Amino acid sequence: MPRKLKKILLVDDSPVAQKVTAKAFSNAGYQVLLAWDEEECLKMAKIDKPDAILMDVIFPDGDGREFVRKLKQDLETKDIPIVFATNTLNVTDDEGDLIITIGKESYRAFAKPLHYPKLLSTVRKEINRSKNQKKL
Amino acid sequence: MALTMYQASIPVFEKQLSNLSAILKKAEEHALAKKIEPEVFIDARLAPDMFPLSRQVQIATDGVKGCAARLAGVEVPSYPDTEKTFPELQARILKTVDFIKNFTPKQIDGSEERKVTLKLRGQDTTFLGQPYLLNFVLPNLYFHMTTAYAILRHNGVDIGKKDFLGIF
Repeated sequence: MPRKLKKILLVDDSPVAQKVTAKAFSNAGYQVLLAWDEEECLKMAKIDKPDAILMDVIFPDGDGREFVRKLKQDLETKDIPIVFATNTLNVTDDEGDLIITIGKESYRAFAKPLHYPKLLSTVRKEINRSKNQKKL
Repeated sequence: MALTMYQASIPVFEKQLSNLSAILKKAEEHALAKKIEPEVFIDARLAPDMFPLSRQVQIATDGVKGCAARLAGVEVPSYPDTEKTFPELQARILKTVDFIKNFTPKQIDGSEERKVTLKLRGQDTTFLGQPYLLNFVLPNLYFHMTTAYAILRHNGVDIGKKDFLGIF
């Protein structure tokens, strides 16, 4: 039986960045969903139920950190793991060892250009962690 | 002195699988050092419609064991394609090497004209032994080894052509 593909929702307003990152995730066997802004992301998060979201910190229509609070307050989206990719906030470590804290939660953050093997590894870990938490 | 079928097959297979094993070992070490989940490499592919690393290794070993067995006229062993970790891929390579190194020159030599029939994309295809080895098995082995190498290199593993060529 073919393995069910994991779904990743990429939220970035740069078409080039989206294309490159989408290719990396497709090559790793993910089904890739693309959103350009908060509104689209929220809609897709609820309808498509991705296994994880990779998002920029700054959106054309707002601050990604504020948006994350919204996602975490919504029962339909609160359990979706989130990883940040950004070229702002003085994040310079492309290996994902930095953390962005929003409220009581901490999120892994990668600087662009992205280190894809580390990013894929982190997303994989976050998905597994979320699954294990659901099992408890 | 003319090159024999044995010389062109078994020692070549052993050497190439040893190089593949060394490359995979470097990849596993790299994953550990960089704190990358090894499955990221195992599942990685160069394009969405290509096979991942694990399958490249499975096909490379299948081609080699199948060739040795067919040229010698013995049954081809079947290995389930279940490997999901570096140690499991290494075990598959080791099992393949253990299988092929038992063949003697006497079993393989003289197989130039031996008819070999295999199913390719659902159709029976018949080769003679020598073109089967030189035009099908060896290019296939190098194709899947190169693809495995390229997947890992693309993912940042510190390997170069000398790892592919090994000691010669």
